[in-house]
Order: sequence, then C-alpha cells, then structure tokens
Amino acid sequence: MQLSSENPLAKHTLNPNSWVEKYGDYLYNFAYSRVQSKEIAEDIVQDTFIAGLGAMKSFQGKAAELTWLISILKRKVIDHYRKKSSRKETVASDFSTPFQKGGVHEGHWILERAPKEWTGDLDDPIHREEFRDILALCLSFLPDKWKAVFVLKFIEEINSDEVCKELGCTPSNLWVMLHRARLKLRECIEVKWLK
Amino acid sequence: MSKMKEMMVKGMNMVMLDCDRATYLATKNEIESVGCVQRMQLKMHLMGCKFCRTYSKQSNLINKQMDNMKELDTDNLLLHLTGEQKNRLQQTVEKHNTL
Repeated sequence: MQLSSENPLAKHTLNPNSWVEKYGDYLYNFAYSRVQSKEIAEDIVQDTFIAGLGAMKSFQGKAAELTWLISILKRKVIDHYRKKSSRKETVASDFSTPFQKGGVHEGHWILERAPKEWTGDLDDPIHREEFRDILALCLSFLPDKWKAVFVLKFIEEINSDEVCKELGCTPSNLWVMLHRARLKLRECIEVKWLK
Repeated sequence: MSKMKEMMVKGMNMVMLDCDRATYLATKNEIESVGCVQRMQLKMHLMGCKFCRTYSKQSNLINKQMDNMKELDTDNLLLHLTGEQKNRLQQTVEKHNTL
C-alpha cells in the first residue's frame, strides 16, 4: 500500500488484507466488551472494516493502523447504541428500587437488598476472571438504553452532552439512568458473586 | 418547643442525604465531580452509613474492572474468532477492498 507515500512525515500504512489476521481478535474483544454479544460484536468488526476500507483515502498515516481502526470501531459502537435506544424505552419492570418508599425511613436501603460485603480476594487471578465474567453477564442484563449510557460514560468516557445528543436524553435523565443502571448492576453482581 | 423540634428535623433533612440521593451523588461524583456542598453532604452521609460505604467500595471495584475494558490486554483476550468467522470477515474485506 503506497497510500501515504506523498506525505514525507507519514510513518504508518494500511494493509487491509492483513487486518483480520492481525487485529481481528483484538477488535472482536474490544467490541464484545462494549456490547456483550458475540453476534453484534462480529457485525461491528465487519462494519468497522467496511468503513475503514471506504475511508482509506483520508488516512494520513499519523496513527498506527490499529489505533485508526479502533477509532472507527468506537464510532460503530455509538451507532449501534443510537439505533437500539431510539427503538425501545425502558419499562417499569426493568427496575425496582432497593430503597424504601414512604415512612420515616424513606430513601434508605430496604434491609434485605442493602449492599453486603463481597468476600473473596480480587487480587487472585481466578477470582478476578470470575468477577470479569459476572460483570459482563450483568451488563448484558441491563435495558439497552441504560447499557448504552453506562458503556459510553464509564468505558468510553464521552461527555454527557454528546451522549445525550446521540441517544436522545436530557442531562438529568442521563444521571437517573446511570444511577439506576449502577444499582441494578451492583445487585446483580452481588447475587452472582456471593452464590 | 415542638415547633423548634419540627424545624430541626426539617433542617436536618435538608442537610442530611438519604441513601437514594447519596448513591445518586456518588455515581455522579465518579464521573463529573459534584458541587462542594453536595460533596460535603455525601461525605457526612458516608461517615454515618455503613451500607453506602460498602456501596462506594463496590462501585470502585466495578470501575476498576471497567478500566480494564478501555484498553484490552492483548495477551489475555477473552474471546477468539473462529476460523469460520475469520473467513467471513476476510471475504468482506476482499470484497470491499477496491485497491
């Protein structure tokens, strides 16, 4: 590939025919950690390659090939969530609050659902791996829109205005969703971890 | 006297957070720091509430795990593409590679 030969500062080149072999696994895992579905992850990797091939002319050789592909993939993840969250709103059954309603203890934890200490040493690689799997599983249980805001805020660290623009939410609505996603995720992990 | 007590309770409720609000602020504070009054309220709540302290500890743990997802460890990947998946992807690349 001689795409960037005109630019004397360019160091990086693109070799699409080796993308699958060189970066396939990495990109697949990268996508999976953000969507928690093997099928969707494969689709996203495929879309990334197609978009990459279409955008090769704009590759300036400033970034390494993989870095460039990752930036395209991140965009595809956002696109995926945008499509998903425009389709389905969350329903009441998606969330039951772990806090008391009414009475003098309004807003305090319902005792049976309050956080319990998580036993087990997370410095131990086996436990760490188990924890990683449980987190991925519990993330996959979140309603699409919550998962979307959770992934975009906590993993991609995209600023709130932009997330709201992509997913169609208001900033205060965003924090409510993140809070609920967090509560649901925590409880799910606890149940599976202490089992 | 009872009026005074009522006012005190009202005042306390304004200063003290309940767990719902405290965990909400804790979540927000992890990403975009909250105002200094709210941060102090949160601190005070955590001092007196064992459950929310546990909640915060667990949140940190989850965040740490999420950090590992930002950049993956190449030597310790969870999944591997099957030969079939690779073939599919390779065909797509070759089909769309117009160069």
